[in-house]
Amino acid sequence: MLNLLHREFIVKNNYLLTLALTTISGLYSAQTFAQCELNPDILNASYQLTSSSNQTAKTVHQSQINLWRQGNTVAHQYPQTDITESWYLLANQQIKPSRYFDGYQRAIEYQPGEVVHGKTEKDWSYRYQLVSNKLIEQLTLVNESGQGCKRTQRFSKNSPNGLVTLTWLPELKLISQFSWQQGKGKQQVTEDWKLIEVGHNPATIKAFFNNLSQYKTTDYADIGDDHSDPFLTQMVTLGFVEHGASGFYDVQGHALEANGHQHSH
Amino acid sequence: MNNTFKASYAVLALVVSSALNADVLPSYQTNSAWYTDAQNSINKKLNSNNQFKAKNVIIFVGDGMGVSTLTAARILQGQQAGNNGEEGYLSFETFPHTALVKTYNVDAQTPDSAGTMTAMMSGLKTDVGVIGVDEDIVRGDCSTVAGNEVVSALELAEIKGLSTGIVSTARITHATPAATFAKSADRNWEDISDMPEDAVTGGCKDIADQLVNFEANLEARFKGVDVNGIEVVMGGGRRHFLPKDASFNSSDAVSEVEGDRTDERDLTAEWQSQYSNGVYVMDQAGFDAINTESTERVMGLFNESHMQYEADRQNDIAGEPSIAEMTSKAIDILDNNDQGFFLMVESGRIDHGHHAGSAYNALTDTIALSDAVKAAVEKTDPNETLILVTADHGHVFTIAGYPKRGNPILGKVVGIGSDKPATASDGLPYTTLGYTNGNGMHDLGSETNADAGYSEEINAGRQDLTNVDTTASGFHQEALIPMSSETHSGEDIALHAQGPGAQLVQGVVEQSVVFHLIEQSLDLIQE
Repeated sequence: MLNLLHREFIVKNNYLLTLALTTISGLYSAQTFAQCELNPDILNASYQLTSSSNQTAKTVHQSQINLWRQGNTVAHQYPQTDITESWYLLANQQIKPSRYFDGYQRAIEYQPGEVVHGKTEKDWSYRYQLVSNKLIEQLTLVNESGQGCKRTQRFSKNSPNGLVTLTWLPELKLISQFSWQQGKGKQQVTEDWKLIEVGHNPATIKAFFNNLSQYKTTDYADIGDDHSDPFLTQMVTLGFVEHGASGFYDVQGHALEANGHQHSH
Repeated sequence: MNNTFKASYAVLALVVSSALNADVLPSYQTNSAWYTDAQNSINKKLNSNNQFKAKNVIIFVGDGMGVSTLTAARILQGQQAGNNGEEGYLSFETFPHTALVKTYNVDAQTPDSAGTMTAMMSGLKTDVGVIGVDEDIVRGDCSTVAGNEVVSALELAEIKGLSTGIVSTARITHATPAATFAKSADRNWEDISDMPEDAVTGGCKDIADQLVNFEANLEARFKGVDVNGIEVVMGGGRRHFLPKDASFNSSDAVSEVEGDRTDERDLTAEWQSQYSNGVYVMDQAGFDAINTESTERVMGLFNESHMQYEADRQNDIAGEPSIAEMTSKAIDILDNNDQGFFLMVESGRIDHGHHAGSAYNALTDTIALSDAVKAAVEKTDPNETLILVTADHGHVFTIAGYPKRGNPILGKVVGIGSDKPATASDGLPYTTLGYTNGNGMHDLGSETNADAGYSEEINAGRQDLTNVDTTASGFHQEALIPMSSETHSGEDIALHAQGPGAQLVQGVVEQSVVFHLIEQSLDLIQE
């Protein structure tokens, strides 16, 4: 987990966190109705990820993930690596993944329902929310407040494996805050996700996905076809992105990545 | 040795051999199945006819189906039937005539499908990556196409009045099928969105466009010629025929927007408007509903991209026909023309299986091709139909070690007299099948799509396979040299033939000879 992104950087100030709190509290001031009228399917959200480890010297790393939703398409954008992963939910509930290499304006399309990173994409909630419904179901609801789009649920779970807390916006199916700890003392690893920005502007979201659709796309079956294409011959060395909050947990809530199973990025 | 002596010696040898046969050879030798099978094989060749002219030609191309692939597939086929495997034959391996084919391209020792299929379809070798043009082309430069286009066997068959067909399990705009009908400076120009701006403004047409407008294009190139267009087109690649607009998505779409075309054209609709009696189908139900006696023309585009691997076919959303079903249906339509037909059938995904490092997918698709050839043999008269079965190139795919007879071809090497996997000098077991290069070993369990391996990081070199089921469909073999995908190989491939003109298939030949075999048999170019 600590190698989450290529270009991690040490936190030098608290600017983003301050911005985050200000943004969230004022986000839905117009939405005073008991019912939330915002469409969770048209949404973009930015998260600040802070990872800290006590394993050697105390280290803190920070990075960002942007979540984009447009109908049955979801994208996770990793600005530090110039890679965006996207998933399209088919009518038959299969999930089709695509990987966009923003720095190259190139994309690789995968077939729906096939094994990617050693597993078959089946859990849409995991991609849509960054945390799967399966994980949320394992947590204990501590309290609930607010109404409409601001309705907030706080979950937690304290197990021998560490503390997990989740602040959840159920109307938007969106993480507001998510953190977990694992280990004790010098072995302790902490990860904290904070929502720093949310948008609902259809034009902005459409423009983001339209931009992706302009990339030159290669069917993954064709990767072997053209060894004269430098992108295809080098692509695999660019590494793979594979996270999202609940991706790091097994069904007991164990933080898988902290156990040494790490992906390169 | 002078001639008189040679003749005398030959007569003496004949007399002696026939006189000694019964006495000298022990019965356990002459009664051996090996012995009698081999003798019968010779007798069959002695009885072969010497007819050279055919009414119909069917060419099957196993993309990437090198000699080691044939051997491994035949063993797997036998083992799937409960036999040892080594003793069997793929359907076309029983054909009486065989040659080895040199596959290199004009500019490459190890070739690609574009250059090799152009050689087979047009009778001359050309460069890697270009379709239906000669070696004077500059790849990717539209301005160099004009004047360098070559004529294909399918075009000549059209001009002669034969019915024509193209079947592929790859996208129908992919390199191998494209070389039957298109002229392109780049194999990747499958639709207009794949082309650079200067190629579009320079007047070059994408490959899908060339397929739909084949009849008009051919008539424009040969003044006074009136052809009726390709009767059977079946394969994948719907994305290259549809506009980039979700409202054109088919029920089989796997992308939010299925079509790739940026010129707002729906080529399936254009094809249907050109051929009011043509039937456009996109799924198994549509395919099954085709009445081959009353249908004159079919365009079947069964997948957004390539059709499924045979082992993965049941996972298709709307259902897809097998390559054998497509071959049978194509023949049933094409043989309605009393003048005869020319049909090209490509098994395009053998190549993809190998590229992905999956022997399982490459071999199961090879067996599917064998079934398609069998169907063609059963539907045609060997006295009037020349059937050629070949590959465009091989892969760096090996059958190695000293496994005992009947050892599972996808398994670990188990030596003669042993029940335990043999170990290499590193103390680890190893598989019979392997690749010289590629993405390396992956254990994807019951996965049936080889391409899933591309989502894994390179894992080349030796791996501990002790607890891995290497016979599982999702197992990807070890590879020595790490590469994003496994590569083609440069050694010769095989050509098998039966029917009129098949006698000429012998020796070691250049790949461009394949065109001339077709031409000779059908008399496509008459003086």
